[in-house]
Amino acid sequence: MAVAERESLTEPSPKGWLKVPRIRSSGDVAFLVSAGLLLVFCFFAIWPQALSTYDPTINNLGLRHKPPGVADNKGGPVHFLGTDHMGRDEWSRLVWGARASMTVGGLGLLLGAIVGVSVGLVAGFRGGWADRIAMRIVDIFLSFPYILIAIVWASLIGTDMKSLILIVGVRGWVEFARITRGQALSIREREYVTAARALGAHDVRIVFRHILPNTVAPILVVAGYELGRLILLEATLSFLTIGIRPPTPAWGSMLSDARNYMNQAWWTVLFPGMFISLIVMAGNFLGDSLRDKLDPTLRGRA
Amino acid sequence: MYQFFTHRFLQGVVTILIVSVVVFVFVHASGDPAALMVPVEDATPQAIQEMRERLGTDRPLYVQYFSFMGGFWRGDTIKSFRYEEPITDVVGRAIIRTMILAGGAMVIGIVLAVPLGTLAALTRGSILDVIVRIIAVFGQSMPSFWVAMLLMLYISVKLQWLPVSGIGVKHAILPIATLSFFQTALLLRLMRSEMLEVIHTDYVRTARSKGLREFVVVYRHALRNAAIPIVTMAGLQLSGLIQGAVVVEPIFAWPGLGFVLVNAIFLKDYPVVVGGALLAAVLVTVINLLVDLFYGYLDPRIRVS
Repeated sequence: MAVAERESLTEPSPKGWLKVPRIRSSGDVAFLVSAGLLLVFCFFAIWPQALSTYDPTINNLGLRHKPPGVADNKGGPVHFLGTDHMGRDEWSRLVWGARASMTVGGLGLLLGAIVGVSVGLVAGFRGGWADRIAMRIVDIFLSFPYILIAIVWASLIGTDMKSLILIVGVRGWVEFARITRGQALSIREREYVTAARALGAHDVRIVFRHILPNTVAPILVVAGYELGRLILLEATLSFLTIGIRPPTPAWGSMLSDARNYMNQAWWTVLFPGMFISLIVMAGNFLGDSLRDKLDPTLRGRA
Repeated sequence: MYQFFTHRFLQGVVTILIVSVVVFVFVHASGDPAALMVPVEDATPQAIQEMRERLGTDRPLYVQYFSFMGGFWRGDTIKSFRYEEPITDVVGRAIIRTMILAGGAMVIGIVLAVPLGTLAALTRGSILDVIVRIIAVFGQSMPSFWVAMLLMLYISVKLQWLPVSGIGVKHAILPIATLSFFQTALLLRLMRSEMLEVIHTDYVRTARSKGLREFVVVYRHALRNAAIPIVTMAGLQLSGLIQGAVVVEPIFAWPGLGFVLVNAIFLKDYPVVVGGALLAAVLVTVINLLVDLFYGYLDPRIRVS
């Protein structure tokens, strides 16, 4: 094992608002594939009509549990991923299911990011009691299985989209708060912050011009991981039948339906799970590749 | 160290209190159990009121909370609404069953992840590294309930090797396999990245340049430092494992905490829900304290700060 070669030990410049890491090597397939996959799922969510071949909620009881590739009995397109226990087209339901996952996961992520970053900035920059309280709450969140709260909450308020987004967002803020706080804590001790302060810069200016821009990169990494995790939470709640309510198609509830007919229709078990895994995987890969890009000690070793 | 421990202990107590209040309020806001428990045919308002008095839910919420917490603290027998059995029995049994799953998954996870993760980091880019990364990626992305269903579909339904659901030694294999898959994947990923970070540090380079054998470098200098986050994560993962169990247990009808809690929530069996969540919080807190102690042992810097 050779000694680690470090390509650059220079500090990244603290200037610039959106310091999104550039794609350095052509070999960074993981980044491109995962970003592409997420874009595809976004497309599914925004315009499912473009790719689905059937209305996802229309029953066709003459065609229950037919395997992938079955011809339609009314002359429609081929059901190339088969049909479910109500004769609904599996592929169309999967495409429409992206909408539920992306809406709840994406908006929950946004909510979590806004709350978490704000809490983290205040806690890290101010320190003192604000920091202590914020971090205690974070610790509590991390040490307790949130799913228990989520289950009680979801079965209590009812399960419209709004409360689901809230439930998912409440889970989402923690990681953002942690990472932002850590960054803010170290950045506020840097020379350039001292310099800005010596020049008479106001706290607000320091936070928005110097601290926030330098936390954007780690926040993006966390966002990648969290998107997957929050979509998993939504799918879990839907699986437990307290998430997205039928007949709205959602991957979690499709699996929940499939559970009762497992030995008759393996395709209803296989495909929804694959879709959930793919989207979560895309988020994780995005986080991973961003992390690798941002960590200079690992850079350049392909 | 003493101060550090006291601090962590108090924090744990606060966690337990907050969890108890949140769960108590949520559960009580979710509806009237009395209306559900009176048989439909004789559900007169009067009968429902009588049921409320019998269950004690006619009292103000804070009175119920304090009497519950008082009873819980003294170890009084608070009865389940449904089973007419003390909750400590119902939940205690369930927790032991969940700990069997969680403990099994934890042990398997650590035993597999520490050596494999280390090897993967040391042979970065090798086939082993690629396999380890693929396992880690799949374990991070596949929903636990889906993995459980796939295992069940293949091993129980198709091959008929193991029973589909229930309780027993054979019945524990599939749920433990499901949970340990995720545990292994998570720890592998962490172990690999920590090890990569550690072997690039100056003190490891120094150890190498002293001419130490590679085994000594890895075992004495790198592994110990890389293990610190693993211990923390393994401890924190207890809550993750309970979370996993909550979802996986109902699929296999394994009567652990998750199964009992989810059922109790749907049946509005308040004492079991609150008591179960509370005991889970106590358990998680105790484990976290133990992890902190071990952490102090591994990393002497923690002891002084």
